[in-house]
Order: sequence, then C-alpha cells, then structure tokens
Amino acid sequence: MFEYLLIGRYIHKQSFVHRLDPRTKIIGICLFILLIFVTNSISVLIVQSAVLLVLFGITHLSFYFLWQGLKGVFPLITFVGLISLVSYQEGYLIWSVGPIEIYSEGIQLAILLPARFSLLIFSTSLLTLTTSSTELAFGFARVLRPLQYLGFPSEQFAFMITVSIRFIPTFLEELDIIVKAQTARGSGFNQGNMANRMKSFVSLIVLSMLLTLRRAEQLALALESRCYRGGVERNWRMTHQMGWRDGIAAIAILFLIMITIIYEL
Amino acid sequence: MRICCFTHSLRLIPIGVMLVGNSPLKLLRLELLGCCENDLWEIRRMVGIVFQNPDLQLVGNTIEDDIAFSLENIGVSPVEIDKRLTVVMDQFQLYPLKNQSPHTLSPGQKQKLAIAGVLAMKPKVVIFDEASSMQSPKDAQELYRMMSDLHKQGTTIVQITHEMEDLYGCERIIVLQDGMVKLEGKPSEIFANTSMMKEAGLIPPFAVRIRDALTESGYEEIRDAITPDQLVKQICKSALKT
Amino acid sequence: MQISFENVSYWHARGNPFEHRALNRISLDIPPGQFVAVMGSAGSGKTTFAQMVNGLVFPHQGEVKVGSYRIIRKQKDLHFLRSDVGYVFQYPEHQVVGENVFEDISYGLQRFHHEEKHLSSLVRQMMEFVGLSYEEIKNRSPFRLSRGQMRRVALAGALITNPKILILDEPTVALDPKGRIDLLSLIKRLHEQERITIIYITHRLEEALEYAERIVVLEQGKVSADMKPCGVLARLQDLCRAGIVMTPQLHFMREANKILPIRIPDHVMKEQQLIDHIINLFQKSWEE
Repeated sequence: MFEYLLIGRYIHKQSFVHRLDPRTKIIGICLFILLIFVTNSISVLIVQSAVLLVLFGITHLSFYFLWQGLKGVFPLITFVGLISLVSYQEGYLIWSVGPIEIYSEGIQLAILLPARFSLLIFSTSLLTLTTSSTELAFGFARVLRPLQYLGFPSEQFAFMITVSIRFIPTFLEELDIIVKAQTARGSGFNQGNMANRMKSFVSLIVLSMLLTLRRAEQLALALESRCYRGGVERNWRMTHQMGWRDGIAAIAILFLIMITIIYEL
Repeated sequence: MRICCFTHSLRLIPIGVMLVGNSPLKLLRLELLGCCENDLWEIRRMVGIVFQNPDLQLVGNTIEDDIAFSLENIGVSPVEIDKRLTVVMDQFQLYPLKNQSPHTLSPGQKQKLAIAGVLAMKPKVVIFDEASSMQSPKDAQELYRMMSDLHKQGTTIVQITHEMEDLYGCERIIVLQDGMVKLEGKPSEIFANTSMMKEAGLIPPFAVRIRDALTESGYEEIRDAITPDQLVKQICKSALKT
Repeated sequence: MQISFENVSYWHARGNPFEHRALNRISLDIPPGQFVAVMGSAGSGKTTFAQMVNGLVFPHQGEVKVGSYRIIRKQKDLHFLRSDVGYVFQYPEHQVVGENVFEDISYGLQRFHHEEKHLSSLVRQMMEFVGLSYEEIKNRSPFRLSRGQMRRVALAGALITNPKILILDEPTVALDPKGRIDLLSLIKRLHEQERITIIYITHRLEEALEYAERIVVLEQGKVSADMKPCGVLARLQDLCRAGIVMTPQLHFMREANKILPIRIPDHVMKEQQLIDHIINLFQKSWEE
C-alpha cells in the first residue's frame, strides 16, 4: 500500500542532478520552495513547474514516480482546492448556486494551493531521489554550520534528518504490516461508523509511534557501538567540491528568482 | 578465542555501551591488552557487536554509505575508507549492491551488511548477540560459517545464543543463569553431563539428546558421542556388533 | 471451512517499477481441520498466501474461496470472515490493540459483535489455555511482557472468537528452544482438541515434521512440494533447493542409512520414534 510513496527513496543514477553538490541542491530546493509560496501568479507557477519537470526529466528517473507521488496526495489536494474554491470570497462573483458562491480569487486560490502543494512534494522528492543520505548529511551539516556559532548543534541535526530519511521506507513498511495486523483483528479501517474508523486510526498512530520510539532506543545502542559520538566532527569520506554543474544550477535558480520578482512587482 | 555464551533470557553487553531495558543484565568485562578500561571509545572500536535485528544497525542510505559510517566515526582517512570498503564488500559479495538502499535487502543480506560494517573497523573481538535468531535457518548456517572463518583469521568471537546446534565450533562455553556463571568449559566437558545444562533451562543439541536417551536406556558404549557424526559412527558400530 | 486456491497470481507493487510476482498460478486445497505447514525461503510467497486466506490481500488472477466467502474486494461482510480466521502475526507487537492484556484479548469479541455477557470469564479461560496467569497479567500493558508471553497473548486474542481457521506466521521466531517447544505443544493441543484448520508458516523443518500433518513448500510463488512428513526424506533435494535446511535428525538418518544394514524407515520423523527405533535395533543386534 505504501510502496508508492517516494519521499525517502534514493535511486542511484549518474545524471546532471545527481552529480550536483548536495549543498547546491539543498539551497536550491529551499529557494524553490520559497519561490513557490511567494508567487501569486499562475503563469509564474507554470514556469516554475516547467523548470522542475525539466530537472526531473534530466535525472533519467521514470516520470511514473511523479505520477505515483501525485496519486498519493490527490484526495488531500483536491480537498484543499475545493475548500478554497467555495470559501475564499474576494474578487468578483463568478457563479452562485444556492448557498455556494464562487469568486474569481477563489478560483485562483483553488489552482494555486494544490499546485503549490504538489510542487512542494515533487521538489522534496526530487531532492531525496537524487541525493543519498550521506550526501544529504554532508549538505545539511555544511549549510547549517554557521548556526553552530550560535550554539545550534548543526552536525547532529543534519545526522538526525538523514537517519530519519533512511528509516522512512522501513517505517512505511511497518505501517503497512500494522494496518494488516489490526484489520485481521477486526479493526474497522474500512467499515463501521465514523467513530469506529477514527478509533482505528488513532490506535494505528499510537502503536506506530510506540514502535518507532522502541526502534529509536535500539538504534541509539547500535549507533554507540558503531562509535558514533554525536557532536564530534566526523571524517567525511566524500567531501564535495562545487563544479560547473553547480554554476549552471545557480544560474537557473537566479533566473527563476528574477522572473518571480519581476512578475510580482 | 571463540566463546559461546548461552543465556536464558539474559543480555550480555560489554562495558560502556548504554544499558536500557527490563531484562536482567550483566556487564561483561573484557580485558583487552594495552587498553585502558576507561577509554570507552577505544573499547567500542576494538569490540564490535552484531545485534539481533539487522535493521536497527543500518543507518546509511546506501550499502556503501552504511559501511563507511563506522569508519567515518573513528576518523579513518577517506583513502583508507575506500580501501576497506572494497575489501569488506568483496568478502560479503555486496559489491554489486553497493548503491542500493539497505531496506531492499533480504534479512540475511542485511545481517551480512551489519557484520561488514563491524568488520570494516578491524575489531579484535566481535560479539554476536543472538545474531541468528531472526534469520532463516539457511542464513543462520551461513552466519556460523562466517564466524568460523573470522575465528580462523584470529578474531575473538563471543557468540550469545540459545541455539544449541552450533556450539560444536566453539572452544569454550559459558552458561549464564540469573546473572551468574553457572557452567563453564569445553564442549566435550559440558556435554559429558547435561543435567546442569538442563537445570539452567537449556536444551542440549540433537546428538546429545539422542545419546542421553540411549545411555539412560542402558547403552553406555555411546557415551562419548557428542557430535552428530560421532553419534552416527557409534550407533552404527553398536548396531553392527554381533 | 474449506480453503481453496485456484490458479492464483499476485504481484507486489503491481504496475510499479518495483513490481514483483509473489504468487504464480498457485492451486491448493486445504480441507477443514488439517494442520498444514507452509514452508519456503524469504520471498517465496508464504506470507502473501496466508494473508489471502484472511482477505488481507486480494488475488490479481485466479480465485480464492474460504468457506462460503470469495476473496475479492466486492465480497460483502469480509470483515466477519476474520472472526472465523484467526491470524497471529510474526511480531506480536504489530497486533496490539489494547492498553492492557485484558482489553487486547477481548478486542476480537467486541469487534465482531459476539456475546459479551461473560467477557471476563471468557478471557480468563483463554488466558489459562495459553498458559498465562489471569490475575497477574490482565492489567499489564502488552509491551511489558516477555516475547513468549506476548505471543501467547496474541494467540489468545486470535482464538477468543472461536475461529475455524488459525494462521500462524512464524510464531517461534526469536524464541528460545524451550519457548518454541512450549508454544508448539500448545498449538498441537489446540489442534487435537478443537480440530480447527491450522496454517503454520515456518522456516524450521523440525517443527513442521514434529507437528504438522502436511507440508507445503513454496518456491518463488509456486508450490514446489506438497507431502506428508513421512515423505520428506525422499524429497530432501527439492527442499534444499527451496532454501530449507535439513534437520539434525534427517542428516543423522541419511548418514546412518548409508551404513546400517536395515534402513531407518522414512516415517520415523519424530525424535521419540527415532530413539525407540534405535533401541529396537540394538536389542535385535544383541539378540543375534
């Protein structure tokens, strides 16, 4: 059931995007996400989507992943879209039937919000699909390093993020087993009244959190036995150097930023 | 040195590793030559542990990254890391899978990866804490073969286990009960009299069980048989003697 | 409740680049009351097979019938099939549904609208059957039990709805030998008393030989062997190929039969039978 979710999976290829310095990718995706949420115009959003699609295309990864990622959140984004359609009452009235009134701004928002959400998912998936955990750890650690002077444990934070990413597929597999196990015991995920279904979901969440905590304890033990020392600076096996590819990526991001700013002004 | 420790709902954890849990614990103090007991990190480098659930030892997003993880922690140089990676991945036939994610591996391969990660640190002692109990019998057999090979190369092996069938490969057996050493000795000594073993709640291996049942019925001549092959020989000898 | 699989196929992650065929045109019938051991290496399809019996996964091709239920998404009231098919998962922590043992075991009764009047006496009965102390444990959280105890709680929870079929997915993993024997004797006793169908998934051939009436071996989603325990010695090679390890007893019998004048017969599968047979052998040779 959860085998379709992409966040957390790393697939090794030798594409342009794969070979970018992890710092470039992390900063690039963060800026991209910022741009998505800053822009209010649909045409800029289209340009941004186009850039993302092109990037995805050059990774040689199957577009199937994008489709599957979308399928996963489709109900949610449809829901968000519909809610904004009927509740945002700015601009001029386009259509009304009974108590439902649809305004022009509502339509715009109904397109913007789901689009932003989808792009958010795609961009983070792009990051994790093309960057291995170690690269991410390196990237986060270096990017957040300045914060260390303010007392923020950036190295450990970076490690925590990457280990969490590594365990996402494991966590999802376990979730799948728990759902089956509880269904076998008669839990009503798909049947019974609303109250029963809610109870089942709550029990699912509580159980998976409990098991995750237990897993964390055992993992901590294993990490110590593997000589992980927390805050101490680790000897990175692969230190990355920026290259011409990062130059090109930087130009592309600047281009996007400029377009967004120009359009917004 | 290869030691098999048999525990009955006990956990052995070397000094310095964090202890958590409800089960009764015993601290195993290992005397490592030239090593100060207080230098925990040095001990952890020299004493590797392979745990029961391989999933909870693997933190890298790819196989290569995971093995390199321990080496990065102990400050091995990048060039040396690459060298050791190649050696250890070849040893466990993991090289073709080196860019795959650990969660795509079978349980047996995961355990191999965990061991590879431990061996890359070149420890003097490797502790296998019930490392085969979540594995299929076939993978467990391979694990035992690996332990034998490691032992032949000079590493001290401490095997914590419930499984009786494999202890023939050990030089020394320690049986624990309630946090204390109940029995200690060579396999031949321990199996000469299994009553104490049974008192500790342990079930002897197949060959020893058959031998015990037969000697109890009066057939003393097979008393010396403790391994399956010895059992076959002795029984056939007795059955054919007329 | 008869179980029948007809030409059943199933793919994991179907349509996905990670697609993998778990079951490959399997046809199998399990009559009511049989104790079947299902064996095979990781990825052979055993768990998928078992989950299909409980309606947790649906076949992509072919037909699965359990009693009067057809295992398809459209089947009405599939939920109630699960009160007739008890399922004990490999790791009992995945099945915990109650805050304490009492709640966890009685959950099935409440979910399937069974008679709730004598709840506490039913739970007590079930706990005693699986060898747990009602007074001591009923208020404890399932996570504060030992692994063996947790398994027994899971078993009690599955049995409380009086299922006609019981599925056990490698229930002895990570248990010590004594714990294994205790649990299996319990299941054997259950089978003898209630004559329910038992589908027992395991890697361990010695367990299948000691307790099961029929052994089905799956290899890459196909049935590669289907026999009674006494037929195992003749099919050792097939079993090895399917990733199953020979037991010490089988190894002994194979080696001994190379030397002994009178073969140890194939049907000597249980340890006690072997011991008796050897003693007979000695007595005969003494007499001669």
